[in-house]
Amino acid sequence: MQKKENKVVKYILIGICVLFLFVMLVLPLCYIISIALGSGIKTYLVAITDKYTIKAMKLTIIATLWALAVNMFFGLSAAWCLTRFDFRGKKVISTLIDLPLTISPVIAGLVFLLTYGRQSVLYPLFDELGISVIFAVPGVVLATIFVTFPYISREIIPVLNTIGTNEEEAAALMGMNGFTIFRKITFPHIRWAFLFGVVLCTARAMGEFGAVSVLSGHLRGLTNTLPLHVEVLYQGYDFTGAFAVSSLLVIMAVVILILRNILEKK
Amino acid sequence: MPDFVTLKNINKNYGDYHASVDINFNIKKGRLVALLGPSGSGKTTILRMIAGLEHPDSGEILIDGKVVNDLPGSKRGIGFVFQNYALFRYMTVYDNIASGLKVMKMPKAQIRERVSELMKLVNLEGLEKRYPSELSGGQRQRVAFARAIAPNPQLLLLDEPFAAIDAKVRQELRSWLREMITTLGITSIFVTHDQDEAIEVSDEIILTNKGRIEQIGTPADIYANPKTAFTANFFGQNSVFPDYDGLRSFAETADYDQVLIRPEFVRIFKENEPQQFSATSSPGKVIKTVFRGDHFDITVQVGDKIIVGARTAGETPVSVGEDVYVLVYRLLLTKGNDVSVLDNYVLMGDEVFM
Repeated sequence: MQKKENKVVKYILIGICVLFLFVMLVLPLCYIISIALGSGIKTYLVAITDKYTIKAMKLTIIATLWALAVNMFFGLSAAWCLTRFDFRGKKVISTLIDLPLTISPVIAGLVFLLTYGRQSVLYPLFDELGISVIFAVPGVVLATIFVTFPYISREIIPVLNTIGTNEEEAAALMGMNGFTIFRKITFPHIRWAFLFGVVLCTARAMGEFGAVSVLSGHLRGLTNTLPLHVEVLYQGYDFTGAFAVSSLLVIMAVVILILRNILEKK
Repeated sequence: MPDFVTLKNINKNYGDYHASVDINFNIKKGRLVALLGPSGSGKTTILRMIAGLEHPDSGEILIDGKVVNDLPGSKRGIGFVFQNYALFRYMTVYDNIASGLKVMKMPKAQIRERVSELMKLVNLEGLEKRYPSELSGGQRQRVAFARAIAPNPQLLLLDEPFAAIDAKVRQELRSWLREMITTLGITSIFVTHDQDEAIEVSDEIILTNKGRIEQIGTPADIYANPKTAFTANFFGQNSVFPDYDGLRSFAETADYDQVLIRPEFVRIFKENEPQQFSATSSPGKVIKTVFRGDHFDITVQVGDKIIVGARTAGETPVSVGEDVYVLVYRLLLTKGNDVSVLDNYVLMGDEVFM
């Protein structure tokens, strides 16, 4: 009797999950693909090879690569300092790192706008140096870095805490220098967590809309990333184009999802 | 024998916590020394300071006559065995043992020779290509040992070397390690919280408590002649009483706080057994017996006291509820942190220790 009840519960739960995913995910995704290809493969190809689409794609990749490079470095350093050293304000730093996960990206965008925009006290300095941050590529990169910086450190910190410091101490007593210890002893432990963080960071960087939207200024062909480009197309009633470009993002997301699953098994 | 390791007035605080307070000791070359104490007594801190993994706030550490305070751990000529062994998880046994030698830039052929020599020494031949996760606890400990002694250190430091091993293998490894260290003649210091382990394995015990050293001496000396109340309480299976009323033939004194009686200071006779000192023993009733393999622990109610003694498995067994005679040879009296020995005056001068 007990077993039968468990089975019923099991199938009900599976049913709920499948239905939910179907309504929330599968149906919209299929819809995107069908609309994108609705006017024929030719229109689709035209849409995704449009010069503005390609420029947006390039900017997305550039912003993502920047975010990855900066966050790999920052993520490793932050994780290292938070797990290997004791200092005043450690808790504060640890909390601040999580801020982009809880703060609305639009607000982050506005904060940057105020900090680096024309009304900022820093503006004359940047102006003199000939750097424009707002409504330019640096702003897009900055926004992307901001929303993605917790991902890598958050993946590594628990692993570093679990392995403890004994192996590193043993290596130090043998006379290995800091970099060798990191490369030979510590990094093998955090390799998979690190890559997992990189994957999450990539996914988030490519898809970021809110913060980038505020800082980019929507300059077609200059500061539009793929998600922004999708919006521009959509607002211009070019549904085929919008969905075609969306499908590119979906394909990239699926590739990343597959990578993530492979990494999770390691 | 010259002193090999010397600690002079070492103090170490973590914030308000005094991990080491005025630590002074000398260790002679070739000795196997136990740093013994309850958890939180500061023994591991001392070991880590000698290794250069922690730095004293004040005081000097000398190894082989040289002050090493400002020398990094890797330049102090030490080998260190960590409590959980800290084997490099992503390296094979071979690479683990070889890594210290590689850092020293030893030629490859020589490394191979040294590692195979060590593998033979610790009896792990054929396991070179295994990873630490594929070894048993005992095997891991031996790899950690081989790795620590690979560069021929002058001083071997071991942090709770047996803590992570199950009881059965632990016994084996104790004697193995003792033998190994004696064979190599390497000065060694190991940390333990287990009095039996310290007594069995070491030449000398440094007993720590609350960041201070309580007593230093050979296991036999420190066991038989505790200098402080803490030492007296720490060693042996003591029964503790507020007084010794009802025990016969002890000089009267009121100058104590507590009375400690160890099982080896007690003999238990059956009613019908002949005994030399019948006037000195006290009658009692057996309330518990526990079989320990080679002997029985026997708990006897004597007046208001519950005293634990032992009888060998070869003697006629006693049973619960039986009337027996209890003869106590010696008491340890503590006052503050002082301790004194009070011998039974009828037996003084006789060889009565079991």
